[in-house]
Order: sequence, then structure tokens, then C-alpha cells
Amino acid sequence: MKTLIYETIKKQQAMLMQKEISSVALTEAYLTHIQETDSEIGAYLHLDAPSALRAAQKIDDQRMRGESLGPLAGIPMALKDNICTLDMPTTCASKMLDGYQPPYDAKVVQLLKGANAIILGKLNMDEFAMGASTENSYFKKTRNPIAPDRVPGGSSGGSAAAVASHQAAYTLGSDTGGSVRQPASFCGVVGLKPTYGRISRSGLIAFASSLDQIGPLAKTVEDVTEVFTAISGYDPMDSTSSKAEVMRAADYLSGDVSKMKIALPKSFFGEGIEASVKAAVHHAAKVFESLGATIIEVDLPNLDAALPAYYLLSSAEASSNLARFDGVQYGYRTDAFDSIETLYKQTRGEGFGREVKRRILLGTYALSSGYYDAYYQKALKVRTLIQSAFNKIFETCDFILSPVAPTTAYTFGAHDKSPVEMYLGDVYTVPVNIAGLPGLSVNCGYDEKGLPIGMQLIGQAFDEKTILSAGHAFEQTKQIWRAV
Amino acid sequence: MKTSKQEKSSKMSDYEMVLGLEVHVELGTKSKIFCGCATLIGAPPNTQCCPVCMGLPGSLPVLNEKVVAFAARAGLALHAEITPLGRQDRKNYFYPDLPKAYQVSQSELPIALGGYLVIEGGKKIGITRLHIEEDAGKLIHEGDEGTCIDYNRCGVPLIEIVSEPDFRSADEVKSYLQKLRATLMFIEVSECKMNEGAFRCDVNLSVRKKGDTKLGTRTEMKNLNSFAFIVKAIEHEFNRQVAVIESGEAIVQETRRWDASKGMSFAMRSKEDAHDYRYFPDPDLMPIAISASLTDEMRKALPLLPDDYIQKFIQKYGIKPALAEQLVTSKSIAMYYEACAQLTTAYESLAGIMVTEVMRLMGGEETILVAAEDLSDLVDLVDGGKINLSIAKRVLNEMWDTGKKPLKIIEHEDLWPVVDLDVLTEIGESILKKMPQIKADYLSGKHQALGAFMGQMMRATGGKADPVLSEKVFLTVITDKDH
Repeated sequence: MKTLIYETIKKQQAMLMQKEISSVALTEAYLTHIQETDSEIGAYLHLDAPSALRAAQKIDDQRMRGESLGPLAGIPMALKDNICTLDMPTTCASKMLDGYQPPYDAKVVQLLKGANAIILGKLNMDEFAMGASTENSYFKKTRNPIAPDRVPGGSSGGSAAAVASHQAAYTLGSDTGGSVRQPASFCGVVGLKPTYGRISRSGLIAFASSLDQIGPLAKTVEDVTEVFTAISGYDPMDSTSSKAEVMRAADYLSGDVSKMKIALPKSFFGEGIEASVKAAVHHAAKVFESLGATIIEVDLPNLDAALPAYYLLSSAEASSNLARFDGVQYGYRTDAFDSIETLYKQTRGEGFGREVKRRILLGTYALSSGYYDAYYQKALKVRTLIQSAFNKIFETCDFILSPVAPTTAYTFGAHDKSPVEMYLGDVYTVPVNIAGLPGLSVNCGYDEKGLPIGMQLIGQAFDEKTILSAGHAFEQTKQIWRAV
Repeated sequence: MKTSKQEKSSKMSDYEMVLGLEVHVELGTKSKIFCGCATLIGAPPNTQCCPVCMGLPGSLPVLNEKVVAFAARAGLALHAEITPLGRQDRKNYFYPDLPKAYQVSQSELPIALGGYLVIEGGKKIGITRLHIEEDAGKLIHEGDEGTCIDYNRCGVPLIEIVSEPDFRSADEVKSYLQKLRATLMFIEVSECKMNEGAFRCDVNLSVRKKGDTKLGTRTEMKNLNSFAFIVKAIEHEFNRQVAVIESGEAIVQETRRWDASKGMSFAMRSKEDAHDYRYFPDPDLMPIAISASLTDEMRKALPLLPDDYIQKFIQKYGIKPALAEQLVTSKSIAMYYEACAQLTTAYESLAGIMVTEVMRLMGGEETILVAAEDLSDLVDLVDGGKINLSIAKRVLNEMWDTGKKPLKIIEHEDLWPVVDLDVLTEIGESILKKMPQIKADYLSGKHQALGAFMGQMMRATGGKADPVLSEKVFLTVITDKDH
């Protein structure tokens, strides 16, 4: 039974349908593995075995009665801990929300429950999704399953590590500036950041509302696509969600790579990128060429402005989004206060970690009277420029191929001294959020230390089909680059 | 800076006040601005809220389209331009009644810009802007138990209407507020119940020497919710500011709170500790798009406004402008007047009874408990001299309570005036016999003695003595040598 957990969703579902295995057995296999593994990995913040087993039993009963069940039915998964769950705590890995239990399920959770998914528990992350290594969690570290002395990436580090260590068949993360794609790259799994508006944000605890997007992580592009279609679609509870049509999973994989024109932005391969990462992505380009695609080198102007613009916009929104954590209605409240003012100050001073405070300060400053035009307003202009630069490329190309991150997974504490250095790691992923585009992170190689390297496929808005089809075609070739 | 002696001797009348208003109005939508919760007043605390209006993590706002329609209708009724692509912004500040620690409001691109309202006397008051925003919750201080929060009011839709600093007196302010309130009630976007806080007003006031063109430093008085308080607060603040200036000191720009029970205002906070609200576009909400054709459609669909009724009442029924103004302070009064005016031609008497007796009986509510045909009948009786006003008032009270027809009441309670000259003469003689002083006074030139006589006549007849005949009786009796 143990080998079941190494299989893809597709394989597991086939076995469930053939009644070769039961959902209870599959769930038990995961729970046993988590028991054995997670004290080392540290992916889970909350595990709810009894509920998972009850849900599995229910689905087995339905299957025995011959009810027709969907492609995710009976498959165990887990959620990043910033996605609200009615029956489990939702902490954002923050002291501020330690023990907080929302009174409602996020839209994606409702959809997953409707699809009979088995929800095992909640996963570790950088506090309020701010960070790129999951080191900013208030609760614990998560180790990279490929190299336990290294970070899993972040902020959805728990989500990537859980998939890479077979502690869930798939997981959900959230991606504001790369938080699904970068940990997927560091852990060697597949992660999709869908087009902004594809997946309802209702019940996702906001970091930066105009950039946040929930995304799936799984072992293969095919699996990611299955999850993506299950949780996508218009939600009247989210004004920013789109009414764009959602196709069946198979349709998203049916694109013809041989006719595709692939843009390779020169500026993405300049300073700061590790040689192995560059080599692996260039190798991937060759693989696509071998599949019949055309590679076109392109310019992406104003890219250097994307990172500062991202940190201004995301921090500005965060400073407002996180203002509600004031110790009044829910969450952490200080013991030491004698007025409403000290209640606010002490609660927020004690409840938030360093990185969160840093971003709140930065964002508050950027929005302050007298600075708004110079910072926030200017960042909005950069956003428009980046969007039009991408659009220009898509006039001639089908998708953009780039690295996910300039480096592979680094060791714990590597960026403790300089947060800005860590911010630089987001250089390839943030432009995609700024422009609201879909981005797929797929493993394309390993560096000399055996650490995974991800490539990023960036598509046009609402054209997940092209990047999923291309990613899927690449996976089929199994031509993974390895440093020698 | 010391003021010169000459300035010190200047008087109150040398100064003028300059006022601008910010009026907050709760819209009468059934549900809140960003969620489906009800907006009923008076529900038990925290029974009309959900994750959205309580600002729980992960919750998102979805704009109620009715709020936009109501706000745009208000903008059009105030002759303002509708913004084709409006925006909602976050106004960030910490307060326990504000669960998200920001209020969704509109800063740069409000629903409507640049309108006006004509007040009594014909003066045009400029309206700078009209925007939508969400209301906050209510703090309830429970003595030793601390402070409780009722979130029911969180997310109740508001419009804020900002005027130009065009007012020069408390009367103008009052007139504007009455017209504004009437207008919003006529277009049915709010019931504007002031006692429930559904129509409240912030007053910005500065003073300057008459003839000066530069504005003085202003203060702001917040959340005034009765016409009487507003007038008092303005007069008090005007006097205070003049006194400060006269004493040689400078006005401090600050927010003041009006304490109605003490009849005084108190400084709340000065400009130095004013909030930096850090307005920015709310990323959870889409732009508010209102096309030109929709604007036209809404403009065409506007019902008759108070000013339309005023014109009609003046032109069609010959009513005096001041009376016409009073007839449009509420939609039900205006429409009721219109209905009665189809049934009687005694337009002036009708208007008089409406603004005195009928409005008294309404007591600030919108319901009129007397059928238009019954009131017109009553007005005809008064106008035709069949009954006098004090009897009419008695009859109307009973009509209001019982719904009976005026003639029925008059018959049943025997309220017809006493018109029998013999009966009146007999009563008159006995009065003058008992009170010879009346006659003596009158004959010595004190003509007000007639009033005393009439009072006695009314008392003796239960108010039913015909006044014209009674006067005739008096004059006959006192000149009669036999008496």
C-alpha cells in the first residue's frame, strides 16, 4: 500500500475507480507516511486524521453504491494555511492568528469538498505569505525534502514540500509574487499560478489583493491541470473573479506544441542567475525546439522596475489588508494594555513577525500623504508599462520561457542579513503577478548538488491552455537537464 | 498679534459666518453595501452581520448595485454630473467600530461632482461632490463591563454630500438641509430619519469681517442630527469664534463635538493629530462604470422634485412661496396637497391647514390618516364660513383618530356654530351683566375689551358661537341704552 502515495492523482484515481484500492486505504497510507516523515519535513501545521478518514469512508460508500464520482474524489490533499476552513484552524503561520478558526470555508474549499476531495490538513508558509523560504513562519521551519539542510522556498513552502515528500497527492498554495512557482521549483514539483481572476479569492486571507492568486501544486502538469479546472471559475462573492470560460482538463492539455512560438527574454538570463539554472532553461528551450516549436529571443523592457514596483504595491496593499488584525474582534490580543491605543500597539507589536512588520511599515510609508505620488502612483504606472511589454511579446509569441528563480534552494539563514537579497530572488516571478498572467513552474533540471531547477512558462491572460499543453509535452519527453 | 483698539470695539454684526456642510445619509436599500445582510434599524446587536461586514479575514466585498443606482439618482436630483468611471478607495484608520481598520469610501472619483440646490429665497448652494461609503459599527459603553461593539450598522450604505462654503447664516443651513432631505425623500433613496441617525450633518464654520474675501480658519462640528441642534450649534460656534478673535487670539483648526445637553461644543482633536487616511484604490473592488445612456435613462426616470412641486403650487394654486416651501418638506405632504387640490379650490386655506394642523398630527412621520376627500370637505366648511378654525381643529383631531367624515363628527357632536341671533344676544347680555367692566373698558376706548367678550362667548358656547354674529351682538348690546 505504501507505494500508492508515490503515484500521480491520475493513477490513484484509476485504481480507485477499478476498486483496486479504497479511499480509506489511500488516506491511511498518507497519514502513516505523514506520521513517519513530517517530524523531519515540517510541512503540516494542522492535521485532521479523523475527519479525513470519515470523508474517505463516505466516498468509499458512495463508490460502492455505484455513484459517479469526479477525478479528485477520494484523493487526499492539503491546503496552505491562509485558506479559510470552517473545521480547521487558519493561522497564516502567524502568532496573530494562532488558534483562529474561521466561521466559513473558502470558495476553493467548498469546491474541493463538492468534488469529494479528502482534506488532510493545513500547511506551513511564510507568515501572511510574506517571504520566499518559509523561514518566516511563526510556528516552525519546513525542510526541503530534496535537501533537508535547505529551504523549500516560499511562501507556499509547506505546500511544495508536502507534494515533494509524498505527504499529499496535491496541495493548494497562493502566489502573490512567486509563492507557488518558486517553492515548486525548489522542491522539484509542478506549480501553477493561474490568471488573476481565474480562481476565487473568497476565503483566501489577503496579502496583496490585486496580486494574490490561489494555485495548485502536484507531481505532474496533468495533475495540476485536473486540480486547476476543479477550483476555477466565476464566484459572485469575489468582484475580481472572471467569467471567462473554464474548459475540461483534457482540453487544457490539447494544445499543439509543434506550432508554438516561444519567447526567450534575454534580460532574464543576465546578471545574478546561477549558471546551472541558465543552462537548464536553455536546454529546455532546445527540447521545445526538438518538439517543433520556434524559439524567439525577445526584449522585455522596464523589467528592472518590476521588482521595486511589486514591493511597493504589495506592501501598500498589505499595510491596509493587515490593519484588521488589531486584537479587537479575533486573534491575538496583548495582555498589557491600558487604552485602545496601547491595545493596538502592543497587540500588533507582539503578534506580527519581523518581515510582516517590515512590509507594513514600507507600505504605510508608500501610501502616506506626500509620498503617494512618488511611490504608489509611480508603481501603478510601472504596472501598466509591464503589462504592455508583455502584450507586445504576445503579439508574436504564444508563451514566454524563463527561469522561475535565479538560484536553486539555499540553506537556512542564507538571507538573514539582507532581506533585499531574498527579494531579488523574485525577479522572474513578480512581473507575472504584476501583469495578472498565468505562470507554470515545471522542473527542467538539477544542479551539481542535485537540487531541482524549475522553468517558468508564462502565458497570455486566460490562456492557461498553451502553457499547460507545453509543460505537459515537455514532461512527456523526460529530457531533464543534469549538471555534470 | 495684538489687535488695535478700534478692532476691539467692533461688534458681532461686523462679522459674517461662512459655512460648508457635509451631510451623511443612510440609503434605504434592503441589504448592505457589500453583503446581503439586512439594514433594519433596531435589530438586536450583532444579528445582522456576516464575515463580510464584520471584516473577517478572507472575506471580500461585492458592491450592491442598488447603492450605485440610489447614489446616482441622488446626484442627478442635485443637478450633478455622474462620473462615468468611478472608483472606490480605502480610507485607513484604526477604531474599534471599524472592523477592517479601513472604510471603503470614494476619494478621487466619486459618483457625482458639481451640483447645486436652490434654497428658500432662491439662493443657489453649490454641491461639490457626492460619494458612496460604508457606515461603521456602534460602540456601546457598558459601565464597568467595558465597551461592547454592535456590528449591525457596519456596511450600511451611506452617501456623503459635500457642499461649497456658500452659507452665510444658520437659517440658510436649515433651509438647505430641509430641501436636501425633502429631495432625497422625494426620489425615494432614503427615509432620512434624523432621530435614527439616517441623516446627519458635519458643519464647517469660519468667521470673517464683513467685506473680507479671504476665508478664516475653520472648525468642524461633527454628527449633528437635529435641525434645532444644528442651528444652536452654529450660533454658539459663531459667537465663540468671534469672541476668540475679539480677544486677540487665533482660531485653532480643529474638530469639535456639540454637546446638546450642555448647549456647548468641545474640542475633540486639532489639525496636528488629524489622521493621514492613506487613501488608495480598493483592489478588491472593480471600477463603477455608469454609461452616458444609463445616466440619461436615470435622469429621465427622476420623479417630480420638491422644486417642481413648489413651482406648480405657486403657479397653479397661487400659493405664496414660503408656504409652498413648507408643503414640500415631505413627499407625502406634497402629494397629499396635490390630491386635495383636485377636490377643493380653497387652495390657501388648504395649505394653511396642511402646514399647521396636518403636519402637527403627522408628528414627523410620513403617514396621513385622513382621506383627501375628507380633508377637502373640512377645508370647504372652514373656507365657506360654516365652521371656524378652532372647531375645524377639533374635528380634524377626531377625523385623524377615528377616520370618520367631518360632517358626521360635526352632526354627532353638535358642533355647528350657534347662529341664532336671539340665543347669542341672550348669552351676550348675561356676560355683560356679570362683567360690566368689559363694557366700561370698551366705551373708554380700550377696544381690546372686544377680545375678552369674544373669549367669554366662546367659553359659554363651547367654541361654537359664530364670531361675526357675536361681534354684532356685542356692538348692539353695549350701545343699547337699556343695558
